[in-house]
Amino acid sequence: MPRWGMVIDLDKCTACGACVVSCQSENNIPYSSPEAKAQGRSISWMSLLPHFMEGEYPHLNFRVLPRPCMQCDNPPCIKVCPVKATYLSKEDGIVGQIYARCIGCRYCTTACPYTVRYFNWYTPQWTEEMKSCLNKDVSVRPKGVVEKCTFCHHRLIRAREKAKAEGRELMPDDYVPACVETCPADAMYFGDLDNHKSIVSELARSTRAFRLMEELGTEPKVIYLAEKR
Amino acid sequence: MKSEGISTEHLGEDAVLLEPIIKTGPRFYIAVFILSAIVGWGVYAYLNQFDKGLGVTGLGVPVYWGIYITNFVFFIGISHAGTLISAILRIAQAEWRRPITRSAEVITVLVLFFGVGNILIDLGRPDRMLNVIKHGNFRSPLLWDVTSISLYLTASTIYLYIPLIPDIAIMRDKLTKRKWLYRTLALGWTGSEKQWKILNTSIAVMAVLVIPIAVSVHTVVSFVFAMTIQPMWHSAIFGPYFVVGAIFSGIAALIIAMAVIRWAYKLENYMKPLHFNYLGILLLVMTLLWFYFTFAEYLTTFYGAEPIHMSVFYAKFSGAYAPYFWSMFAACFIIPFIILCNRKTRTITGTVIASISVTIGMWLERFVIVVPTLANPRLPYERGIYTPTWVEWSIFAGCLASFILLYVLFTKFFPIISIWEIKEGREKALPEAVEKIKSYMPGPAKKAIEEVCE
Amino acid sequence: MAITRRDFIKGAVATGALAPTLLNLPFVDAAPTNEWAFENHIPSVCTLCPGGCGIKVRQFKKKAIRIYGNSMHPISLGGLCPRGVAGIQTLYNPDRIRYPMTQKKGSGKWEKISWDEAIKIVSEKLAGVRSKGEPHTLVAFAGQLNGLMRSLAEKFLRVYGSPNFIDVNPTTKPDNAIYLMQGIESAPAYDIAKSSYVLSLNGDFLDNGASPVHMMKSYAEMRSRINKQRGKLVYAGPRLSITAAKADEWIPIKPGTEGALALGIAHSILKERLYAENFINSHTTGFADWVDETGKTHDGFRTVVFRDYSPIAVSDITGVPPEIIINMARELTRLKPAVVIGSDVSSFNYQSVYTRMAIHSLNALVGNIDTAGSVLIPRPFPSFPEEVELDQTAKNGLAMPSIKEDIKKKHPLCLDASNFIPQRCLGGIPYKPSIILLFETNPVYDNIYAGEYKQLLSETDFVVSFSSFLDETTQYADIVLPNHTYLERWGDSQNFTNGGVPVLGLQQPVVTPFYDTRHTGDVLLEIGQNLGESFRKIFPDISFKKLLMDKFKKVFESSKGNVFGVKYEAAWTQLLERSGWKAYSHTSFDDFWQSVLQRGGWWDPIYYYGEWNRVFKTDSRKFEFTPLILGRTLSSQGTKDTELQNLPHFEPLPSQSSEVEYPLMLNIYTPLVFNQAIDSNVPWLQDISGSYINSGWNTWVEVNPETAERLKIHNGDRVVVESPKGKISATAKVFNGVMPNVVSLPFGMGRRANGRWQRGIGDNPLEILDKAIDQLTGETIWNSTRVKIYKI
Repeated sequence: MPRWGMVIDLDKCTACGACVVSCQSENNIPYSSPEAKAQGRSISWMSLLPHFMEGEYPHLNFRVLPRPCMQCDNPPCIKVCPVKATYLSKEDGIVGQIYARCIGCRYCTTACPYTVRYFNWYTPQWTEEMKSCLNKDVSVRPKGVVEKCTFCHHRLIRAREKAKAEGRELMPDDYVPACVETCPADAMYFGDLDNHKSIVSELARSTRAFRLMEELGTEPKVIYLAEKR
Repeated sequence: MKSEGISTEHLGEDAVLLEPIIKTGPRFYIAVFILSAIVGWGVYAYLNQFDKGLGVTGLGVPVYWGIYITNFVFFIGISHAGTLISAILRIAQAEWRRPITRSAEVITVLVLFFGVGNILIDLGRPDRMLNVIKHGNFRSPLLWDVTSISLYLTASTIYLYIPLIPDIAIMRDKLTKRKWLYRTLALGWTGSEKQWKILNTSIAVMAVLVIPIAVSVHTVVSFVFAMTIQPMWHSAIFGPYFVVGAIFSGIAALIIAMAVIRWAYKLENYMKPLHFNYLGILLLVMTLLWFYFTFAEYLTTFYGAEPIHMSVFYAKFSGAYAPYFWSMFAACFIIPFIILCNRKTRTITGTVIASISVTIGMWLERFVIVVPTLANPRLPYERGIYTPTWVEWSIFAGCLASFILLYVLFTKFFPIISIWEIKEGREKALPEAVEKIKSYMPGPAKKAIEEVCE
Repeated sequence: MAITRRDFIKGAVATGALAPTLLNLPFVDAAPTNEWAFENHIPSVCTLCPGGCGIKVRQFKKKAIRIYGNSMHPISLGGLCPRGVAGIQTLYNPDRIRYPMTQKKGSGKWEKISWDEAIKIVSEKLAGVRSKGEPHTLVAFAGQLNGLMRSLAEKFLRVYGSPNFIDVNPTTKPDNAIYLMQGIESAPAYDIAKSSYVLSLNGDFLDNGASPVHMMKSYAEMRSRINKQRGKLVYAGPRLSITAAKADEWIPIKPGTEGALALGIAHSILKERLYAENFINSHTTGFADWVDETGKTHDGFRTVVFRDYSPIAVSDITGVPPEIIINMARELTRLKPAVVIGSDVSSFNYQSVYTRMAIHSLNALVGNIDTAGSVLIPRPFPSFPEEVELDQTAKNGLAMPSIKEDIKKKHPLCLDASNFIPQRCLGGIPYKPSIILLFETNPVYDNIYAGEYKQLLSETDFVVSFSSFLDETTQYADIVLPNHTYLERWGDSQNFTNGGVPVLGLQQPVVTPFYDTRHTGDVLLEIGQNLGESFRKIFPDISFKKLLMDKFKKVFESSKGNVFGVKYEAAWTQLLERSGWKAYSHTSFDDFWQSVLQRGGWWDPIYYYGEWNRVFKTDSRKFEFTPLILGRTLSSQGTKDTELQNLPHFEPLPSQSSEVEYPLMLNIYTPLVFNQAIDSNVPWLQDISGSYINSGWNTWVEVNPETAERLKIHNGDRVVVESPKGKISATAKVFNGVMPNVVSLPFGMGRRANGRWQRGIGDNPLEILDKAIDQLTGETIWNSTRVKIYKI
């Protein structure tokens, strides 16, 4: 069974934010406002984090990190959900979210050490015109439920169905999340970590590869490649 | 005294214990009115939240939990007052427990509803709360909470109800109003020896059962935090720390409740300075114990100096949450310690002041546990201060008012001091105590005691 | 009527089923619908910045759902920047203008009118001016116009008889250094992808190059070459931009002194004899001392550099230690190929002509002209000059001087006259305009003479705007004829890749326009029908789409290049064309056109290196260190003939305020999301505008920690940034990535109009800038303003 993973090459990433916006476009994420931002309620499943700025001026090392859900293989969040609304799928390794079952207790949001989860504080609103660009493949969440990056799981479903309809196997290029598809700096890769020959497996074995907060034992499937210095 | 077909002569001076049930003064109505108004306001605030969503609170990323969870832990903590104190004192056969037990047990039974209530208020989708039963995940500490608290509620209710039966029987026999209620609840109590035996055995069994359940309750509440891997939550001593804190805040709440009842219903004869003195000593012991745990917790963190833990630590010690942290410390340790360690200040007034301080301090302690860890996540975020909104404060006020209102209503239906236990104490306590002392006191003391007893 | 049990049960069930709706319970989610329909993926071009990235739009049930990069488009190569992705929020923005409208100027009360009315009004006005014999008083301000739309508008004005087609903050401006030293009037291409060493002197090409996507792709290629040397990037500038953050070294340098740094590096190169002697001897002039026609000896580049720009002298000027300068020189010459880039001409990193010349001369010094991985001159598009028959009115009108004509007397290298137009117009020099047409330009917001533009527009009799949004400038229009947004219209985009090859992207409607808007091209054509016989002959009653197809037909007939394809197709095309064969397989124009519609455009993927005749169009047909044009221009002006005025040299930024009172230098920059500030009125972009510094929906000012400590300012404080011209407020961010005594502010917010997601958010730093103008080029000097900051 494939284990889908993502590799982000920080050497090439220019922190442009295209991944952030394409995720919001693809996944019907409600747009924000100055008030929401000030209250910390902007939802962006893929976020750009100013990770660190180290070194003495002017020999500075500035890293801005694109951070989706880490899709851990040992997620702290699924253990604590009282209703199993979030779960680790054995089929594809994606940590899923059942919006219809979530009771909004937000335990998973506090348990996640990477703070990748978001909550719908109000019913998501769009102006009438903006509703036109909602993606029909992705459900619109109601108020009071938790949501997070799903590696564009709906695209996997479409790709599988397409492959089935065409009578062939699923090829690695068939399924790619919106962020990886859009990245202008070619800094993101996606594929099956269990396939020894896939590009993500190869890159995951690189000496530059690291995962965020590996020492916590969450086994994230988002792998970063450190800058070449 | 006689009034309207009620003969309470045989109760003698204990008749005053039934007075609140028989008579209702204007003060009661005023109190109920004010409390109901506050409750109404709290309900309005909640309906506002139910309609619009949790956005009306001050929560946001990364502080996903705030006042509601603080209240949850706080109220569950207070629930340890009743049952635990009452059960421990019963097992220890401490005679001075008699006027205290019922008021303590009522606190427990009532406050548990608000503990659970705050969790339900905090849910994003309270309409789906039954999913916890339908799709329960037993790996989750919240499910452990559900189980444990349900068990505790059941056990406490039983433990409140059983010793209440003889008193209900008294009311059934003596009072004219609500006879149907008391007759039903008395379960055909006649006071026969067999019944007394069953009663005493049940009480003894429950007293023993309730203690581990009570300990488990606040332990699993602490596990909600301790089972995550967040800095300054993932701590091994959270279990005992929370239990100690719970007993601590419980005793304080109990003292306050007792003082209020004593003043309102003129029960000075029953709740003597001695009771407050003893409870005050217990409170002092808990203060010291609380300090010990807190000290251990913070020293360990500080000494280890792990960066992510230290950022939370400094947030509490000198950063944005310092005012809360230091107020908590003053309210939980400094003020109670000063008041309670001195016999002269350990009066009723003194213990009540100390208890109020402790109650506020323990609420702050919960707040200081929940919020700073969330406000300092491992990955960098815009770290703002969590400012609760009027909705959250209103609901908190509503919960407190509801609890007090229900408590007051209870005193109107059932005697808040256990009549039969007082009677039992008066009749049996002294001879039993003499027997006990005689059994272990060495030498010719036997004779000296007999002389004194004459 | 008796109700039976059965009725009762039925009724109960029915009511029960209706209960959720009746009770209007807030949580009951509606039943899902499952409609299958087909979706299309339509290629087009994004025009939200001048980059011209190719996009594909996922269209479903007539709605555009998502925009992503067109993998076959040579500029975007499948990627897209956040602005491009957020384009659907521009399309579905609730604050769009939905129909033509007029207002009594200044009232703010717009009245809806029909298109027929609107066109009638404008045609009558235009015809009226023409019949009075004053066609030259029609003025068009053109901003973001490209391709066929631009040439149509230009043609319209010519046929009308007006010489006043004026670029106001246009999309791309040519680089003066390239013009003077190579004689080419176009922006160069920097072949970063094949470079081994990129030295950027305040050139933020990753932040806001034209097509940041293309720059990022080239950068990624430069960094990830498998078998060859990984390219090195060095950045010198006062601020840690993204480009600087990605660089291997950031060299902080005092604002405005990049020219000196370049010459300091040149000094080292000359001293250590590391320059490309062959190239300099064969293809350049002005390097050594030279003698002019009168027999006078002039200093050459070498003399001046040796004399004035030793590393120690340069270190004093720039603040860069001498050993770093020497090291940069060595790296520049050791790592080949290399390219030295200055700032983009349309950015806020102002660089004087001499600075640009100094930077470009470094390229020549090491032979980095027109080779792989160096500075290239883009190959031209197939051009189709056409003869237009003008009537007498038009000829008379064109004979009149244009409003921008005299400007060149005072500012000989002026390419963008936007700083002088309003004053001249208001003063009637040479005459006042009677009608102003506004094409995709917004000087009331992004020009420092915003006040003068406001006045000009208020006083002009008739102002027509074609904008899709009610922006600041459109508020001063009399009538608005709203254009379709870029996703609803036909058009083209002429760009070139970093490899120097021309790309013609096709812009096509991905959704049917859903408001009562019209393509400005079609509107102009229709207005033309009402302006007389000559117009009708030149603009027959056809649509803009047909004109576009005609243009593509001519491209098809030129037998050059090919429709976009995958990589091997490009190589195949190159092979065929080099051998002299026609490169593509389309037998007919219809075939070609269908292919273009499917794939997104046409390009000519060949670049021949070393076409010296094409890349050096100076009189000497060589690279001129001492541009002869410059000498002639300046002496014809009568300026004092100093030696230096023809040579690259350093001149300090002019300062209009005292260092004591205003101790900090203000550095303005555009974050990627506000690139060119076009249509950034979408919430997705506002939210991420400062994500690398934890900010959004807000103007911030970056302050060095030393400076912040001295001024007792902490991270997150609200501060006032004050210059002699005014003050604005911002949130202070203590950031190590800015020099001490320099503060950085982002541009793009502080709008007074343009919709709910832009109006009133943040502050506009242009409001407090000194009105400093470069003498030679007439452009605004953006980075000479001094400010002070203090807590509110």
